[in-house]
Amino acid sequence: MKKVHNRLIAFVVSLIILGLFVLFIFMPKVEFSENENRYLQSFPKFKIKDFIEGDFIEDLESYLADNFPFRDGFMSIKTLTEKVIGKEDINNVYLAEDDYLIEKYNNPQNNDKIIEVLNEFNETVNYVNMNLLLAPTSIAINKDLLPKNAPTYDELETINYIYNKINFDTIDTYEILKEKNKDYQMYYRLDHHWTTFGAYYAYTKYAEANNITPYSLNSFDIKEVTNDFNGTLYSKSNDYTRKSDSIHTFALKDISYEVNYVSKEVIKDTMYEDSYLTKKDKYSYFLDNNHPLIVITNNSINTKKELIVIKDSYANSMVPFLANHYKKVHVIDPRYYKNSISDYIKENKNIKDGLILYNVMTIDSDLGILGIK
Amino acid sequence: MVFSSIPFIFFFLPVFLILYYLVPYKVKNILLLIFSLIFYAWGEPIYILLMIFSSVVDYTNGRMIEKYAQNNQKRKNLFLIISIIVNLSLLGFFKYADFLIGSINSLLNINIPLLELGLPIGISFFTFQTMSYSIDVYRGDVKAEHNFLDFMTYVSMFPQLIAGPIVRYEEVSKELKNRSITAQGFADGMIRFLQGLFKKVLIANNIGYLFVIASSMPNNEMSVVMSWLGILAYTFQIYFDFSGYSDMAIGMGKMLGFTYPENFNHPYISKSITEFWRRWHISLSSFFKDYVYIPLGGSRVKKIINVRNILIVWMLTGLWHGASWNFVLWGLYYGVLLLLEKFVFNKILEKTPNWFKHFYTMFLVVIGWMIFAFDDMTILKEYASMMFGVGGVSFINNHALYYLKNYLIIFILAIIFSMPVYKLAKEKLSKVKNTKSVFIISLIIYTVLFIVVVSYLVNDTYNPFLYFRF
Repeated sequence: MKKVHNRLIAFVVSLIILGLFVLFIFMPKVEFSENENRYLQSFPKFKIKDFIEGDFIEDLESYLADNFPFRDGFMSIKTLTEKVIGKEDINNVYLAEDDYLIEKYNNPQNNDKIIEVLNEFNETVNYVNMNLLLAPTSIAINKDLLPKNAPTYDELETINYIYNKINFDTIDTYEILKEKNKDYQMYYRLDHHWTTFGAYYAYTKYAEANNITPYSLNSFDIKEVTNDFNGTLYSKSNDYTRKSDSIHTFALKDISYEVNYVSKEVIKDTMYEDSYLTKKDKYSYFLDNNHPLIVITNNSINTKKELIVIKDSYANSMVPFLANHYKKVHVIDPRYYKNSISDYIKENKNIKDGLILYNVMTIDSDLGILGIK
Repeated sequence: MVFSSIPFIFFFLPVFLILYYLVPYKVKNILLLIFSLIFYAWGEPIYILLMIFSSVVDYTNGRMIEKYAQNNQKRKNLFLIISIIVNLSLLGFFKYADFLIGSINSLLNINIPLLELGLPIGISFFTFQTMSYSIDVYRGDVKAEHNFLDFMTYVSMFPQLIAGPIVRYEEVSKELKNRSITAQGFADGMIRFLQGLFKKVLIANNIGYLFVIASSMPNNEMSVVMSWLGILAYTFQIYFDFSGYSDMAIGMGKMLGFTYPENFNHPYISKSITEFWRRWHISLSSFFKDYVYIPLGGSRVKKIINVRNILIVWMLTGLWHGASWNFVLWGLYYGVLLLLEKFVFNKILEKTPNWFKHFYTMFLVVIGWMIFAFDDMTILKEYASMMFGVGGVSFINNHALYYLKNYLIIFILAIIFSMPVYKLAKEKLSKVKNTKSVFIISLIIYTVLFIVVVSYLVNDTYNPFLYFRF
């Protein structure tokens, strides 16, 4: 190669650097990344103390990375590169078959703590018929789709371990989800949640255990509300080559609801929030994402019985099924609800049934449930 | 600040370079000094005082040694001793105090509280540089520097401040005063910088993550194969990381008009341990040779003294890499191997076929990195027994198969680029008539790889700085 060639290459790379530098300076900064569903780092305030302790520099560096021009594009280039060099998992997500992305399940850390906390909680409200439903995630049900030899910890082992030591009723959903997964998609391909079908079959198991006759699948009017859902795993892996998901709703005729988002002081007549269907975060369509407390009243039913659901986001697509059987369903998310849940139950004398519903991954890391009282 | 980061590549370096090329020649050193201090302060706002202190001390010592060179041997000696004591105390206090206290505590079963000072980045590099300067002035190898700002510029120069190569004053003293800064120097330096960046981000970081996986895997999931994959990954990580850093340093030196010494010369193609150490971290081994081994008498002494000298040098080399017993062990391991090669089986080794020489060398080097990688002796023992199938782990399992498949390509790339393929390609390509197509292909390779590097950096992937212990 001639010497002048080095000069030309150096020139081109310098242009790229300067171009991105200039773009960074002049491009408008976004506060919120829809793709990653998080607030981006803003320019940090300079404080002497932060500077000495290194926090200022750290924030400044995340500010630069978060607001880098073409950030999403660069992330997909990285994923593409990883795929080319033969990686089968990216950012804790397996690139599985049939267009599935499947989140890894790592060894649980808090099983015994969870058992202790939940048993204790059950004691304080022992007049309520409490149920625990630990939902398996896609990795347990779609195991066959994982890359060959993919290392994973067995979710069923965790569920059984916890169920064996829980002093109240537990609900098994693994068998039915596995079975029905042959007919319908129980989990989204690109999101970490179960589909409305998955939620439906889990609901039938809950109903069976509590002497409720579940509605059959064909009593519902099943509607596809979007076929363009690219969920959290899509964003986490930045693998944009896979088929988007559909979201379905299961509606019954002639039932009207009143949905009270207590902390926002908003009352609606539906459990679905249409505005999310045009955004990236489409799972929030169910129950308007996560709220500390939602109270759903069924106007068309003749019972006084009320249910409390203590839950993570998996419940959001299952609550609409439960709302068909109770006068009221109180939905509490312990991550955001800061008061005592047992006090809440005491104040609402008609709460006869309780359901603690988590997926087996989040329950291990969720600080809300570990602090439940 | 580390080189392989968004702030450095897109802000610090371009802003600095533009100013550096614009300002008049006289101001260039001062500009370099200011930016070097900012560079250091970025991660270590407080310890910058330490570096300034070390520079002031050795600047003064240099002047004093020069002053008394002719007429007062005692004072001349005194200032050399001051330099050595001050620098070694700095190093001893900030780097080794806790190690010493910890060792005394466990030896005597007492409990002296640790100091828990953070280790100032690059302290082992700058104390060695300033100390070697005083020694060189003492020996009359270089003239003392009279301009303090120039001296401070030499000590703090950001390209080689935090991870070497160790540049001796005499190697850059002329260029500090008078260097040619050209467009060609910028271009060649940039190419070298990019090569280092590719080595660090694309190979070292990628393969290094496999070692993180292997070393944090629960024992019941481990296997013999996995433990070897892990340590081989570490072997390549440390080479590509360290030599990548040296390439970036040398490249930036070129952009600024400085010629830094080469630091790595394809160490993994060596046919003996002796050869390995002529090719690995060259500026460090030659430092120990010139400032410790030879002053102790080198090899021109009785055999037993020579053995002692070699062991001392290698114990210190080990200790230089980190304040922990595994580094001492690692140094002594090489000391013993070099002694064996020198006195026992050099003749036998010569007669073996080449493939055996390579295998023998790499096997010992990999075992060396195993000792180097774990500063906790219990974990080291556990990992070593897994590698040799002691302690009942399976030979191979699903985990090992999965990671073997996932990292196969990156392993192959690492092996290829451990060999002098670039040199070879350059020689072959220089004979090609159609230079235009060669140029276009290289332009595409550099541009694409650079964009891929940026995508890794933006993504906040595993990007460790391995030399925080040095």
